[in-house]
Amino acid sequence: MTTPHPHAAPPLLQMSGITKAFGPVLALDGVDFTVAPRQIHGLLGGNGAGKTTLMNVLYGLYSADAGTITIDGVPVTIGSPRDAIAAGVGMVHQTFLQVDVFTVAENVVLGTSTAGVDVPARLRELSERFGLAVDPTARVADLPVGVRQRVEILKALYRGAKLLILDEPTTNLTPQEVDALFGSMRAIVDEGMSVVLITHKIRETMAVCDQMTVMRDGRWVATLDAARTSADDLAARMIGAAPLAVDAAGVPVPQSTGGRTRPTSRPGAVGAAPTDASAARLVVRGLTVTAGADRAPLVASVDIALAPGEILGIAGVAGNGQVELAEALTGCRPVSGSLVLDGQELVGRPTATWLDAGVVYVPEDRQRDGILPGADITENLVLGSHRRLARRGLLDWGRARSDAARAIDEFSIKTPSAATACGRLSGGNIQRVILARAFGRDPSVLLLHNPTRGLDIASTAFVYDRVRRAAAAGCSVILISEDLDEVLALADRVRVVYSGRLVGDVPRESADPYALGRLMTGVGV
Amino acid sequence: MTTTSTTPAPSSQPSAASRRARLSLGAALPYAIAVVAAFAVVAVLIVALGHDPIQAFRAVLTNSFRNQTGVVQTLQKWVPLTLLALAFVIPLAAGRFNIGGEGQMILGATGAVAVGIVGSGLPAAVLLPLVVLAGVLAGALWAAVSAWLMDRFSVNEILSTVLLNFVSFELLDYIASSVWSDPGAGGAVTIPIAAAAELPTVGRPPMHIGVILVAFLAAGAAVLARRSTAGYELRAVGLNERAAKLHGIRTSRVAVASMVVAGAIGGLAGAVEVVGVHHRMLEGIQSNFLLLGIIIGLIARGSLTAVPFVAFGIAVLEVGAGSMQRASGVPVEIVLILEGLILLFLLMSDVIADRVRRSRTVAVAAQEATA
Repeated sequence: MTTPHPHAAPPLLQMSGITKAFGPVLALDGVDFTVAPRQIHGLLGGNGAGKTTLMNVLYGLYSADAGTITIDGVPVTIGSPRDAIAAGVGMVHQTFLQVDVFTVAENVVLGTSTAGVDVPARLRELSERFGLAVDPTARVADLPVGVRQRVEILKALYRGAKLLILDEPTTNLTPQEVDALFGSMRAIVDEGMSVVLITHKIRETMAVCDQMTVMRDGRWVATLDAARTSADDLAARMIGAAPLAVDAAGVPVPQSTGGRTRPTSRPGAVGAAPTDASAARLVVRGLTVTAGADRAPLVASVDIALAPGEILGIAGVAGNGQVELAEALTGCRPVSGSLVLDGQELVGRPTATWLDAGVVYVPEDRQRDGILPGADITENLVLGSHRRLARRGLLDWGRARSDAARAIDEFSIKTPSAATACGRLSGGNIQRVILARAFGRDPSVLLLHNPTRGLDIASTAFVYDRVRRAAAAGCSVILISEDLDEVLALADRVRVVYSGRLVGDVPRESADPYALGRLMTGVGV
Repeated sequence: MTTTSTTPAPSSQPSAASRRARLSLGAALPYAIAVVAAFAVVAVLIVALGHDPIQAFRAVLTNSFRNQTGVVQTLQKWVPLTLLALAFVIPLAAGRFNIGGEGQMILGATGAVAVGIVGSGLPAAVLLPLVVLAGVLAGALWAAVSAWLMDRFSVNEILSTVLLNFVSFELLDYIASSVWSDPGAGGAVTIPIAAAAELPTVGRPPMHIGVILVAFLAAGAAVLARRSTAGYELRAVGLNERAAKLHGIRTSRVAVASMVVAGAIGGLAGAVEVVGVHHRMLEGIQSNFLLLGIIIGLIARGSLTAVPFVAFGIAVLEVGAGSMQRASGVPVEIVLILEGLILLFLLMSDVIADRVRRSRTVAVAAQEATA
């Protein structure tokens, strides 16, 4: 693979043929990446495109299986972040590595020699030069996210970085903080350094980058000058040419793993006007999750109307508030707004009331949120309905065990016995336990978040089949997924979550992956 | 716990029965190894001190069973040991650490003494339940302070329970030397409670009926832990607090309740010591029941079913310690070393068993992969 983008100046950074595999998964496949001096370079891609992996290779966190790196024309071997810093590479991760109880200055100098350096003066000078306003004596724990990010940038600059990598730096920032950050990036470039901006948000790359590289599925796709491309062009390249089977008219064809082929052929589905408020059993109005004072809300004023038997797909790139939205819609975190199910207002009620009303949640993080790893399968299956199984405070374990035997059989859970600890099962079987529990509750509203992540094809087909059958039986389904193919395969209607807001609302028949991709990357919101 | 007997297997599923037998044998083995190893190390220590270990061990192990007095002593010692162990393992099931058992016990004793002294004149049928109830409530309230701090302000419950222990020592000292001090006792000892507040006894030498009450209580607690929704929620919170919360369990309520119940049990221990054993409150009434309760709870691996049995074993050692010192000159403290070593070796055998199991799993997986 050649890089079809010649530069006038010799590149500051040249990565060639970088390959990295994690077990059987090829995360990077011969990626080339070049950054010119004095340049803000956007590194774009969706989930799992390999952007962060590529930069982690550059920063010495992963060692590449193949490929070379040159900085200022000199080949370098980077085996650790220490090597990377010595070579002039600095990286700001999404989660900050800071000592909370230390001051800004202490955090910045941590791990460096301060002999003969007037640290506060040097910090003040760096802050002023790059517009990174920070009080060096403030305790890091007391600072808001935007300022803590400045501390991380100062840390890299203090160590003499000439190439600064920022990994999704705008995720938790307010618009004002984003403007300030972009201003600082400009100032850094004006001083002769370069910045790599890892992001999935096209709008911000268009706003600040000189050049951008698009990656998809661990491969280099394109490197483009900002002046000679458009947001739509970038979105199309990010989503890719054939994300799913698309027929001649551009209509995605659902995979025929389940019993039904047309979403309107099911009993209970309201085909013509699925969002008709009179048909809706679930009505959500202005559902909001706040993040604290003067921060942008995590979930902002979400409205949903859902009919029995309808499957609503919510697509989006990870980190746009999906977990918060899922927990807000299932009564697992405090929210404002209104959620009415079958005429019952649920906002403000305890989680148990939501469960009793028929709201069932299949969380994304199965180990952390879904199971009791040390408890056996029977005990895991009764979680949440244990009070229903009880008579005068005593659980009917006999019935629980016979229910479990039936669930193991029905959901083909591969386990030595019902008394096996759930944490010892494979990921696919853990998900089957969670699904068995969810469907065992006979839900009115089923919320699934990334239900097939990490599952093999057989388990994925199984999940799709069960979801379709539940919908056919009249269950309203909300599917939050970062896999657009999955959303298009299951959903009757597709919406997109971007920065905690729901945007777009298209029936599956007229869903265009390119248009959705633009919404997912913040173009045309 | 250590049972290896199996009921005759129905011919249809012999493998299940044999697996169960193998499982219980596997569970018993670490205990056997830990006990033997601990005795071996202590034997070396006793020899190093210049005494005869066989004579010492015989004294320790037989004292409880040689005569009626030994049996009664052991059972009465078993009561606070079991209760303090329960006060430790119940919050432990929810992932909380109650290290305040002795403070709760002292508060229970204080409550019992106060009512037992002030209420003299009331008939036994009224006074005795009141005295015990006062102890239970006082212990529960004491633990509730820590629980509230934990729930409301996220104050670490280990710190607050431990620190409240020190407060309770001062309270005991104040009550026993200033409020209801017994001037003839020559120490921090209260005057006796009313005779009507004393626990009835059975047998000869007399054994207070607290033993029977606590036996029922421990059995009831074990059944509730296994079968009740409360017990289930308690375990769910300890196993995965987030998952429990997402599935409708009010986790902070469960955690607070576990601490308050533990405090009530600790308070009961104090009350029983007052109405059953001492009939007054005195400095040092808490003995080292807190530490022993934790050791028992950990040896029982948090199982409410196992606690009474482990507590009995520890009670035998504790009661035998004095006779050992008399018979062979070995200091009583050696018994505490023995108890600590049993726990230590048990924990070590856990680590080893886990490694063995993991390497076996890897071997099996490798076989499956190549097959």
